[in-house]
Amino acid sequence: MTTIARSDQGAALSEHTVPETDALLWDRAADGDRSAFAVLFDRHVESLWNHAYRLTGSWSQAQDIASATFLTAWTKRGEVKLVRESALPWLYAVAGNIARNENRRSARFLRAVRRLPHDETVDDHADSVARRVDNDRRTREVADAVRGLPAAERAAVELCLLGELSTADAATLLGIAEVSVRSRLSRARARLRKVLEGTS
Amino acid sequence: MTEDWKPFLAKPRAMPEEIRDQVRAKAFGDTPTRESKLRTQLVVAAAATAVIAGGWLSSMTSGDSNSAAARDPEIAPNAAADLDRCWAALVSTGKTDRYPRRSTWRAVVTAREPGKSVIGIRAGETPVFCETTVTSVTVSDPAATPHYVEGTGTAVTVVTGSGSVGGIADPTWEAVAVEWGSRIKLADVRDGMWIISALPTDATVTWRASPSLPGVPRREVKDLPRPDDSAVVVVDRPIPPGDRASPSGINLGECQERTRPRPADAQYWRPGALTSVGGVTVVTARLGELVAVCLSEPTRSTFEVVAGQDLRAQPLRHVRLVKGAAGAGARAVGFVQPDVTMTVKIGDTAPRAVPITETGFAIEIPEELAPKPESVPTGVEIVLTRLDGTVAYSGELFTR
Repeated sequence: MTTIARSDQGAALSEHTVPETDALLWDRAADGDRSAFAVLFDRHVESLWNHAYRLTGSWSQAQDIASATFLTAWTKRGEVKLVRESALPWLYAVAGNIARNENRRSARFLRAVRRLPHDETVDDHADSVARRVDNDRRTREVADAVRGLPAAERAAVELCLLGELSTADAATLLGIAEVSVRSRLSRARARLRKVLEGTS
Repeated sequence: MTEDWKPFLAKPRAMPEEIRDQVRAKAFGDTPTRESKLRTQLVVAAAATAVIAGGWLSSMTSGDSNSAAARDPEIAPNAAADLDRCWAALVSTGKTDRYPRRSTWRAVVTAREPGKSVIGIRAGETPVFCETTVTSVTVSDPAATPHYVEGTGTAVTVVTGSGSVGGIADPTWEAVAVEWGSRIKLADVRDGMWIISALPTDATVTWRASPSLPGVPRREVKDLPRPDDSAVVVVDRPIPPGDRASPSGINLGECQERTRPRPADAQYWRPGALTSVGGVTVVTARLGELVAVCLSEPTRSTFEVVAGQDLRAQPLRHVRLVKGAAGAGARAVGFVQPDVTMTVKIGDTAPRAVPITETGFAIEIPEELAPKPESVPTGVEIVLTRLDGTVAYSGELFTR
């Protein structure tokens, strides 16, 4: 039920049980129940952290964005938009906004940082350091290319290509028709290919 | 959609615990605490919770007189059985002549929660809404005048006593968001029909509707009117009402009365364990295979159905930590399988029996074990014993 307690016990005891829905938890969080929010945090933080990495190409920035996203989510918990009972798409959208604002503020700083060896905060013994650095470089190139897209296309790309949400879910989240999401993605793919193939 | 982009995407990594802790500390350390005289915190700590989807649905009848719906993955698999029940309710009241015949009914959109199901139906071309609960059926009046959001094709058709709301959606609306106060809910929308399974129905609450959520440019929000009360309501599965004379029964009745919207089948819930801490009162309740927690604070009450259809699935379920004002200690509230007894041992104290009523229990948790709302008390050991003397569960009430 929760990552706070007894989750493994529950899995062992019954294979027919499912976790409490985001909708129920968020309803309680909206009423000020911080512990319900903590369950949502534990449920989604890993996905959000990975998404933030794809948005930035930096694990340290991903960590900050993940924190800021949940902080924002708490303050805006009455406005959350659940998509098919999940809060994750909305959290992705919030993370995207935070990443963009962060980038606007620190674009000059980031340009400087990118010339330096990346500050890797996550140990991963399965990968060689060389591969890891290469992956980070590639992820940052993608993140940079996405940042260069027109705003409407960027939002669609962040949700569907980086976040791997369905176009239907992204359409619900963005409040636009699914066909609009698809056309934005189509245009964005063409632009991204051009940019990324140039950097390969 | 993203397959061709896989080579460009970083593979997800497992999040190291220390990173998780750092993110948590920053996110929660900065989280402002609501200015509330009495902030109730529920730490959900059960093994696994309500069978809201899988078990709930799969354990119900799967009769199929609506084959189109049965093949539709967006329609609950037992929708056909619900349609039959809705129609049977009309038959029992002799009102079928007001509706297109049953063979023309098609489930369009469904919303389910433990103890309640709402279906948007195309009866021929006529939109009809039906809510089924443990004891009753409510079917909207097909001749009722839809109450439109001004200047739009979105309207409300029916509101039930337990707050299920259904209506028709403007074809240009991709979504139907309903707001009241500072709250907002998205409706399930499909094929020009929308439903929400629980909205507050007090006359003092104003509903507003929008095709989008806050943050969308040029967003328009307009009042959503209330429809007339012309639905057909039938108690088709009557059961004896729950006790409302005992202390726990009185508390449950009062708690339900203050809950918005009022719970479905409110009078039939049977009271369970009753406890109070720091000005907060909690009572558990049971209705057949459903269990619920009703929590009363000075300013409001909430009634939450936490499980359905899995009472025997596991010995211990849906344990919550209820914490009122700081320093007042806490209570653990939860549910066990039917026909087990329970003892608890906290720290060095001697084991003692825990009363169980209607599968619900409540245990006092010392303040030092739960100083914060998000604390996970350790050292609270319980033993659940079956009638035949075998142990169903032995161990910590809360485990990390």
